[in-house]
Amino acid sequence: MDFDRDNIRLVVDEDRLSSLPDELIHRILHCNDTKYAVQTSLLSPRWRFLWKSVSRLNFSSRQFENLPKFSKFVKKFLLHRNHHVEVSSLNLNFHGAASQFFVRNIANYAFSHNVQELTIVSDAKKHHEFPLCLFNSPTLKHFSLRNNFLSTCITPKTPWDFPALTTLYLGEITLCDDNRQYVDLFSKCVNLQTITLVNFIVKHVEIFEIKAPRLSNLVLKDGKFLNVVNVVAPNLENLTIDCCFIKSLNAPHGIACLCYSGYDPPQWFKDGFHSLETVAINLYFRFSIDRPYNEEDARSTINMLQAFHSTRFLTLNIDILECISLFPDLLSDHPSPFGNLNCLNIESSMRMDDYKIKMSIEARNFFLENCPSATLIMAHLLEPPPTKAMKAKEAREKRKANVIANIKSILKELQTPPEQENMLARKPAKERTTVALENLSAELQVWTKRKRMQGELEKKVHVIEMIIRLKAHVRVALGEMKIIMKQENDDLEAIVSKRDQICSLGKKLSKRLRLATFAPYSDQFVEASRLISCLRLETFSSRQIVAHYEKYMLNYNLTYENSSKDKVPPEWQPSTSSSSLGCYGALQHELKLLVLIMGTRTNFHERLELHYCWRST
Amino acid sequence: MSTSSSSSKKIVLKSADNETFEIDEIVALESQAIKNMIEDECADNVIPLGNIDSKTLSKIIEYCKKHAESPKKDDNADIDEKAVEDLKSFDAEFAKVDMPLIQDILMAANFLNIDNLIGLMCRTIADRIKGKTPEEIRKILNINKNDLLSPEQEAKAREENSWAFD
Repeated sequence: MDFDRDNIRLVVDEDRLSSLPDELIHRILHCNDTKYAVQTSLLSPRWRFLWKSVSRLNFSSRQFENLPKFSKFVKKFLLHRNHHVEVSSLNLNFHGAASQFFVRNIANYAFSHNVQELTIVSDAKKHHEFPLCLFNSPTLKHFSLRNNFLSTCITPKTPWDFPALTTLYLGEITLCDDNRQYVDLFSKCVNLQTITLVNFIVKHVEIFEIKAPRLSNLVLKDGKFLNVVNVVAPNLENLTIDCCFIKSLNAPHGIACLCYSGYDPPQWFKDGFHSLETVAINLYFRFSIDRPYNEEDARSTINMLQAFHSTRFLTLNIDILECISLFPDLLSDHPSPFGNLNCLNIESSMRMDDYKIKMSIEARNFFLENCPSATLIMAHLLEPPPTKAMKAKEAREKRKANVIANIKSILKELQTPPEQENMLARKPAKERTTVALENLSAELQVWTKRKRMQGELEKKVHVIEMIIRLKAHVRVALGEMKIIMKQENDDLEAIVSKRDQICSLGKKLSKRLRLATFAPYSDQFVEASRLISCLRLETFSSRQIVAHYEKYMLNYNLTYENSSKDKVPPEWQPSTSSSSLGCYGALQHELKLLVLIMGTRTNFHERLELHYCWRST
Repeated sequence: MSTSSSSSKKIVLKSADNETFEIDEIVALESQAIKNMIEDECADNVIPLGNIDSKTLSKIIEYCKKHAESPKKDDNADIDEKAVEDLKSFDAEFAKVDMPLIQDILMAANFLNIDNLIGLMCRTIADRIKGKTPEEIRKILNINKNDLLSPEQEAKAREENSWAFD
């Protein structure tokens, strides 16, 4: 039955995955490199040919030793693939100098299978021209072409033929590098909505025209060597220009959102925009101690700001405010251009002296005169740097916190009995010793009684053997007790040293703080001190008793040793019964001492345990 | 999309083991299948989900709740980056379950047509089998030992696809 149940479970598990439609298994295969997809052909008959109809292809040369092996794989894959299945997306990521032939083959395959999404990432370091055939597809919707280094990877300079393309991303690419009056690449891409160009070069060209009738988002980032950029895009809504070297740019006047960052205020927005919603400007100037802001900086910044008169949300970095605030007369000359402002947000430039910059009355009027109800946010500015006194105070606070943390941690250590396991192991040892002692005591009593009853001594040798045996037992018992006593004493000392540590740490705090820190523990401290002194006293008296006992033993042994040459000590000579009785007396005395010591130890142990109980509450 | 007053409407789902779950309509709308039912006005009574057990269903509701609360990408271009990060880490935590449950969730998400969740589960499975040998993958996916390629078939597959096994 068990076997059957297992088997059913397995079938359920198997069915669970195998019953998934192909498209879901394909979706799993899409996530990984195409190489792994082919390898799943060995899993089971269900998976045998699934890889062939995968529609999203990920080729990465990273999975291969070298480019020729990679290239062979791609070639074979495309050959064995099910050609009736379209390629919805193709992602090609290769290292090294792939031949144009190779790239062209892949692109041709993808284009002939109606690819919609094409991503190519290469790391060509040398001059490299992409084939024109790569820029011609009636179906392609998303195209991303990226190099890992800024190199002279050049795209075709005639208009690209992507009538269905909606998004385009180019990174680390040279779009043009020869002497030309004019270059236009996108005018045939009539459906383009988003263009992102990052780290791109357009060299030696008079006019770079970005002409796309449906374009709505344009991002130009780290563009270099640009002369005139003409953005001919009546539907453009969002324009982002980030650190580009552009001589002049003509943007459509109807944009709603503008983000600009760069070193200088651009002068190409002269004609202004009529329906701006949000504007975010970051200017870094080329500010330094050697080159403070000059009047020209302020003048051109104010000119630039005037172009944004229609905006409702304006975000500026603090440097802009600082620059124009230095020239109040210039600001006073200009009436406030802003009529729709809802919110003015001044952002930090993450400079150490951000906090010093205040908005002058002239600047405030320039921005908000016509819109007094607009919100002004200057919230993200850095705090002023700490002064010496503040730093010193901070250091003191830190030290205090350290001391308190130390005290607390020691107190916590005190909450758990040190070497609790030892304590547990010691208990049976103590009990054993007690039992041994009781036995000894009983035996002695029996022996003494018997002797008195008989009135006469038994054989002398027997007496002596008896005494020696009892002595040995007593010695063992004493040894064990001394060990226990030492361990207990160590524990006591550990507690004492921790308490002393806390006290000495406490002295580092001010009286007020010390009292506050110790207040919750005060009762425990009083109790601890009382217990420690009690325990100390007991340890001391126990030690004295043991010492006394040992001294006695030593003397006894000496007497015994001295007279042992005849095997029998003189005072144990059986001829006189009194000397025999003396022996018993001595033994009885020893036992009394032992009883006394044991009693003290038990007392000590109980107190120590009591102490732990108290601490753990 | 419905107005805010109707978004507080409740939808009741019933799992295969007859446990009922009452959820906000806005959460239920994460499922395209339920959304269609609501639009066709056939979601007024309890919706029985005869092929989803309560363990799987409560996991799926947890996912839909979180995603319904988070701002959508297409709603606003500059949504909080923190919200995106938050959702990412939620997804990562959510996927930390055993393979049988992942497969249950995937099948249920497929049935309920919750595209994000299908994607998350597929990615999770893909991550777990990435770079593994066929034997390891069979173990991970619990593929029945009785349903393997015959030695001849396997040899043939290896030979045919030898270019992918270097």
